[in-house]
Amino acid sequence: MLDNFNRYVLPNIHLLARGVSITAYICSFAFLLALALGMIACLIRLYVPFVRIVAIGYIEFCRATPILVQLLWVNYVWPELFGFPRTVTSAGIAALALQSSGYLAETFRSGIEGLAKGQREAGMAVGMSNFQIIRRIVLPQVALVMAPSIVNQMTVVIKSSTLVSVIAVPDLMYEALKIVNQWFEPIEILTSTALLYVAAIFAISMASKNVSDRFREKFGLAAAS
Amino acid sequence: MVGSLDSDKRRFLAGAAAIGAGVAAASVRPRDAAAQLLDTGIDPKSVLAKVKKGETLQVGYAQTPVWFYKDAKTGELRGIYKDLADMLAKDLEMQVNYVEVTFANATIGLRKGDFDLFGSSAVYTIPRALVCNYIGPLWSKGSLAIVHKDDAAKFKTIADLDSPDVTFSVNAGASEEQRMPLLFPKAKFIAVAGQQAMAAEPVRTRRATVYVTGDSDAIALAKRNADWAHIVDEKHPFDKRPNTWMIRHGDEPWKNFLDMWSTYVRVNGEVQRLYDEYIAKLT
Repeated sequence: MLDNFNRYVLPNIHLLARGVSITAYICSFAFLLALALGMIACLIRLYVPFVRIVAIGYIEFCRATPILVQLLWVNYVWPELFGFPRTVTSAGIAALALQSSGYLAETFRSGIEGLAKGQREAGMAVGMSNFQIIRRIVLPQVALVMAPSIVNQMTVVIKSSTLVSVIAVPDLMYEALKIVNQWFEPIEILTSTALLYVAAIFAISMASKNVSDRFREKFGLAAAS
Repeated sequence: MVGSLDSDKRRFLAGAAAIGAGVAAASVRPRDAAAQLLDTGIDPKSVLAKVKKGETLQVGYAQTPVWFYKDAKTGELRGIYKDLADMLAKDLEMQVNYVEVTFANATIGLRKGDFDLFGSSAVYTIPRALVCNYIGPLWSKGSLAIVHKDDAAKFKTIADLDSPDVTFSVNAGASEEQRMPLLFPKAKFIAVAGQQAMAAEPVRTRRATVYVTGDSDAIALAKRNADWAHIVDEKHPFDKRPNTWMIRHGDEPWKNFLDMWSTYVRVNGEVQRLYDEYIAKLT
């Protein structure tokens, strides 16, 4: 096994590194887009009564369809219907964002609805504006409650991103499979790839924990369970 | 009195015969008896030993038009190599179980023992030969390139495709993924997972310039997709290689048997007959 590792993994480490950079690029953009779409869907669902049903339909669609189906649908059908996305990378980002936005919308909704009404009323009672109430009272508490779910969704995006290799996006999984298909020695290559994903997700989880610990200290809030 | 004597004589003779048979049987030791059975010389771990026991033959396949595919209307498995596999099973008087895989995981499935024989059109490549054993070969085929009809005027010969502006789409795990970058070093490549036909999609949607596959596969695909597919220089397939079945390394009896059988079906014209039959249906 060590021989195969030296022969097939080490000489191709630059390819795997290139795959890691593409994975990071796709996941970052997909997640940011998912946050934005999720927040929009959540706010429409909560505060815009006459199109609430559209938001609910969107959220349920995103949550109910498997990621692979969405990926293939966005990649092969959207260009015919809407003229975009033009590249497989943008198709991968769009599909991952679509999937995660549904879950994030529900995460935001549960966070916002979970905050006691009295918190806002207390802010209004001392003369705060709506913006000040959201920035200084609502968001810190809601963000801390939602943080674990949001970080969890980020790890889901990273894990789901492996599927974009199916549509030939040159991410880490794609590069790994290319090496496997060239040499037909999957064990060492795929084990190394799995370890790279574990390392990435572990790093994100640790960073997230540090950030939420500091956040908690700054705002003097009780630890979220 | 006479009748009674005859009866006694018959009983005596029957008894003597029984005793004699018993003595003869007892005088042959079990070891000698076993040695009298013919030893086949086949390794018990060989697939051929399994064949001789009459177990089910597991045949793996990856779909590729003309050679081994599922009929879209009936769901029935068809193809040149499918018919040959059925013929092999009939000759061996065995049941066959067909296991679908993709070209990407065909060699892995074979090495794991998921099936005894990969029955689809596996083109000779060195990396594949290092991990699995080819039999025969049964046939050989060249490759053809398919471009979008809108690009037909730009690409008259294969040499026109070796350009940095050209993106090849190939099936992930198929031999083209290894072979084409060597033949077209200036071009870019993408590998699409799944069955063969999925790799043509990027050309249809104009995300890739050209899709390369086996000559008969290309003819089949172009015929089914006449609205967008155009074959570059159809009369001159390139990079001709044997395409045949694969088995695991280290199974010499099975390899020798299949080599013999493949020679037989080639020499008696059966492969040619099937090829002509399926190609005729295409054209």
